[in-house]
Amino acid sequence: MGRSQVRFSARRRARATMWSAVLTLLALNVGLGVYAYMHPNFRDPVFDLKARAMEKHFDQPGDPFRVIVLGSSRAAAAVEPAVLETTLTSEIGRPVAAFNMAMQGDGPIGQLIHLRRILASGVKPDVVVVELLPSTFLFGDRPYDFSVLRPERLRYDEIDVVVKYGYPEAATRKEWREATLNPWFGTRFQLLARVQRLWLPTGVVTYQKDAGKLGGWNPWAAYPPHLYRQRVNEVKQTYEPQLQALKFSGPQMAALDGLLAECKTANVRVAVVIPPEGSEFRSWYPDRVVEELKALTDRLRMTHGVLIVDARQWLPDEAFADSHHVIRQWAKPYTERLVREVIVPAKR
Amino acid sequence: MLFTTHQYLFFFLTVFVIYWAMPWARARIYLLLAASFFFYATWSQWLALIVTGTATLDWLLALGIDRAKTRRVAKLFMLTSISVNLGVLCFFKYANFFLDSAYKVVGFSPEADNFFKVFMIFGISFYTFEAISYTVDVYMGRLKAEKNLPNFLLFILFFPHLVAGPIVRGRDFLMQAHRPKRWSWVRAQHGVQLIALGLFKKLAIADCMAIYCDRVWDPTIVANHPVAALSSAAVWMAVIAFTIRVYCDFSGYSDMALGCAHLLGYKLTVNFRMPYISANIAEFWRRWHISLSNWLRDYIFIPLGGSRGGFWFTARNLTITFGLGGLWHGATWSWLVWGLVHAFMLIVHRAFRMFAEARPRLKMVLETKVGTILRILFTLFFITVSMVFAQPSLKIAWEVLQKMFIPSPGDRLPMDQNRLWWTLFLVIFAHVIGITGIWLWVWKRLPGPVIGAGCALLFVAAQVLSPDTTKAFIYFVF
Repeated sequence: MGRSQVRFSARRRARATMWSAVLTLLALNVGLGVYAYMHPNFRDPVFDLKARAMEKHFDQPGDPFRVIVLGSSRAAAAVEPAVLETTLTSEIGRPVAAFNMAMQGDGPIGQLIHLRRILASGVKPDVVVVELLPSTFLFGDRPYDFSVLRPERLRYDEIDVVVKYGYPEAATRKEWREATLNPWFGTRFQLLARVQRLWLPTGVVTYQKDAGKLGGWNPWAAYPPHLYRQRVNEVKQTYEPQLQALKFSGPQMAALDGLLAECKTANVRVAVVIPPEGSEFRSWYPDRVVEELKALTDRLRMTHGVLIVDARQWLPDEAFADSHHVIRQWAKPYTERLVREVIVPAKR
Repeated sequence: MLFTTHQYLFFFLTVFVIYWAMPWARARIYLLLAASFFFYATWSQWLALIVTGTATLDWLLALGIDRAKTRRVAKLFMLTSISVNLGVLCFFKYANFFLDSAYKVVGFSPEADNFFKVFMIFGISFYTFEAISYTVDVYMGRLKAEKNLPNFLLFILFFPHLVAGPIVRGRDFLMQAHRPKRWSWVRAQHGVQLIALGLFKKLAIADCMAIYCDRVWDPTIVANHPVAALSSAAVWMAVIAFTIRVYCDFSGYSDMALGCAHLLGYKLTVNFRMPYISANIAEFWRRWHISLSNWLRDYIFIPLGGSRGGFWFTARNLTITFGLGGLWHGATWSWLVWGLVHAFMLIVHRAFRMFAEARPRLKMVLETKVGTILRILFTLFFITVSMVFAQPSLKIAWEVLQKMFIPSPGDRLPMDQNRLWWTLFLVIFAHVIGITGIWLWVWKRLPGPVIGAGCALLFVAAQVLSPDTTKAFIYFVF
């Protein structure tokens, strides 16, 4: 082959490479973009898995009494739906279907968004247990929820809602747009988690294959003694400064009000629970925050007429893996007490 | 504006489209110049002005050297250029080093007391070295002074190599600036391949390895979580992760820089040739950060006398060159030690080479396949251990070394190790298919559309595997 022929062949090959690269990239992006548009829950796989499992669980004969638990990883670890169902059935004499829809890092805005999705899907719970987790009311330059319920997990129509509750508008819209136009980057954790969860960076809210099992309950094991102290120290480093700076006046307050109002409008009975904590964790609250929390619960009772229970001292220190997440063995007694002192009164 | 951001993608595509849409060669130079200024100004407009100012001065001084009637005047111009560039480099890069050391001597805490601190200019070491090499080359008669200011400014400011190299020589770049550019599919293909590869190295490997090694290398994390709390195994893993990271980070950046330059019709110096398969430390420096190694060789080692004298004379020159090379990387005692450790390894290698050359049977054994593999592993081991000093704190480096060689229990690294081992396997696999020539054999036989689809998949994989936050390139601060 002559030199000019070699050159021509190389040029043709290079041109084919370039066009193929551009077209493949376009096809991949458009393909995933269309898939994400047609399957909105793809953006939020943790919710998707739980929601599908919940719908399946609630779809049982005999019109069971339906209970949904909303909240963060704390509620996800503490409330055992199977125990809730057994205990509540014996209390009210009627079949019960309960599902723990609590998700890692769900603060008031996350709970509102997820409740709206549940109601929009046609599920009508009889009672919703809402977790009031003080640390999720932190507001720096943006609400706490922004760091967990990232814009790429939201649907387009939810952007306005989160912006109303304090999400920075420009950053939220930019992130959502980038995730939509470049979905392989924007939804990379959702994708990666399906293939290899172990490769996810720590702290990223993950897709868990088994999130829908055990009625959405995510049991925690106790740490070995030598790791317990280290873990509590890490928790202290994270939460103590947050609790010191806490104020119950940010836009998350409006989100909590919105959540309770939404339940009222949908004719769903609601109970609000401040989840249990170890004595060490409780010691990090300054007196000011404890007083403000008390004032907040009084105001919510007055305004929304809901039952609010402060369960922070319900469990002994050995019930926690890290002074704030309840371990597997203590979920049962906690859930039983929750039924008796929260859900049954809320039903009335 | 990092190469790995959407912002840069948009910026580059805009420049690329306008550049090739323009029919005028001169206008393209001005466009690249404006784009380069804008690129640097996204960090700081003042810094962009400082760089442009010093580059203009270098251009004038080089013209002065060219037109000087006597050698003495020419030398004066050259020394002025070197002094100005080194002055800027020392002020912006080393002032804090000397200030911190002075504060420590007199017992002040500069962080706490908010003492005078100098802000850092990104990539300052790279462009000062380029400017120095240019004026020295003009003085030595290796290069004619560039008469065209925009061409010269583009040589210094060209955005693909501006902040982290490769260190470009005037004689390589300026010729290209004069040549009118024509679109080449082959060159564009090469550029796209390099960008995809560089992006994968940076996002999927280097940034992820940072999660493991930051537990030992990031001073803010170490301040809250001391290295002493880690187990020896965890520290070893962090060191391995850092060794992978630093290579993929820097070579990934270099690949992207070369790729972007190719897409604009320019060719930059290749900076890495699989350095971790080096069979000895001298070979390592011929494969690692090649543009810096060559610069240090041409402008420090050889002017000092190189290896023309005896063993100890060469050892002295290596120590000076690598001591300065260490300080070039970072203005800390730890980086100085890193440079000296490499100088020591080079001296030992030189002595051993002389020893082996006098013993043909030993030399023969060392050059067998098994001997070569053992030499590669041995070299890699020492390079990995020397990486411990590639960080700001000598105290932490010492703690890490103790942890590595005195087994002790402790905490694990923050992320599951699964990804670290897979990444290590991937890096080894890539090196194996690279050195055996398998990759080249396969690549030559693959049809264009398959290569193109492969590039797109690599691009997508880089994004899917990238961690939560993109890290700045390590070499930006050098």
